[in-house]
Amino acid sequence: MLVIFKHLDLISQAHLLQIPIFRRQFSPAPATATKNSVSYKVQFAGNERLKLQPKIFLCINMSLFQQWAFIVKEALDKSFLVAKFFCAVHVTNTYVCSTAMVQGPSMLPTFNLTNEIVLLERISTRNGKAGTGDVVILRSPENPRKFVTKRIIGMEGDNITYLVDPKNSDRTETRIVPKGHVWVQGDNIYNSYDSRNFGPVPYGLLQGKVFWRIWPAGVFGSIGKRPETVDPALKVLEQSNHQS
Amino acid sequence: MGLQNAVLNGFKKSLVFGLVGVTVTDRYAGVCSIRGSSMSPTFNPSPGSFADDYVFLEKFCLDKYKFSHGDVVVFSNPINYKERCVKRIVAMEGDYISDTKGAMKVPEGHCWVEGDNSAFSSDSRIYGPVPLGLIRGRVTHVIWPLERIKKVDRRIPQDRLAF
Repeated sequence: MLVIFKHLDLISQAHLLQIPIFRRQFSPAPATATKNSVSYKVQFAGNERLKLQPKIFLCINMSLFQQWAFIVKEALDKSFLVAKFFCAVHVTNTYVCSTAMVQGPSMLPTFNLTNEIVLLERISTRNGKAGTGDVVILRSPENPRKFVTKRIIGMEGDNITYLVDPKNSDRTETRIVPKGHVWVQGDNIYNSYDSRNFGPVPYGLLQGKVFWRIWPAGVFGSIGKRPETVDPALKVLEQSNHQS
Repeated sequence: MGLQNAVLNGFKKSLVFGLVGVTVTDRYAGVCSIRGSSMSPTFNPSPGSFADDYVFLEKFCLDKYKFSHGDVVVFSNPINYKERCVKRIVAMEGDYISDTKGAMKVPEGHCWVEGDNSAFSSDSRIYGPVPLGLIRGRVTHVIWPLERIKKVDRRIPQDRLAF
């Protein structure tokens, strides 16, 4: 049986040498126990002729201060680990890929009325690669704390012809999208508050491009570049927008 | 063997440092340099100097998007999202700003920004009101050059609002 002198970074050294330390195998040795110290005896499972590093052999009686220092160091290590994990999650969510919950009637039939969970990727919008036909999540120009999901209909320089109020009239308007802006519309133009109301949106407000739907499980799959529209009047508009 | 371990260790440490640095710069505070003289004399007061001013930004304001008149903010240029501009907020949503064409109301969710040096500043008078969602931080202090370390105050120009 080998007696190990407990050192402050014994745990890290033990991991290095793969010595399992089982606390329940520690038993206080009555002969050496004093009022303020705890002594330990460790039983090795298996090979007792281990080549141990010299710095593991240290004082067996751990004073109260050393115990406290050990606990504090472990707590700090754990909280650093949590902080590092949080930073990694933040970087992934902001620069690579993130999830979002979408709801509302403005993107029917692509997205349903009830909550749906989608994956959005941040790389295209950061590099300026988001283009016509992409479904994007953007900060609302009227309320910076609100996110809206719409489809990009036109990029800067495009001529956009759109139905101003399709529920009540057939009036169309044409606008040119200014430099640095995009025109977004919901797929359900009868019930969507989009660029026809708040105008073209600066590209800097785009947060990410939606590329995959992960909930509800029945419609798991990628989000296409064309709105699944069946209205023939809209098809004509779409074609005229694409040709110009 | 030892060199490989050391290199791996160094790589891991720099990765962790990078992650933590990016997170802190995105969420809490950061430093950035000011180029150009559109905010003279608050930043870069002497146009011929070689060194740029460095300022300290805070990002806690991006939690609630509560800005006030006179705040100096950094935002993405609405014309070119890759560029960052730093200007002062002169009017918030709902205010009327006196323009060459008369009085214009700043729409909801937007702000009107102007540089302190009106003659050399390309700001809201050129590209219109800026959506608050484009703002990336608020400037609180000048930290370089050392002889001009000071807090950036809210200075409210009284003559731009229509009433």
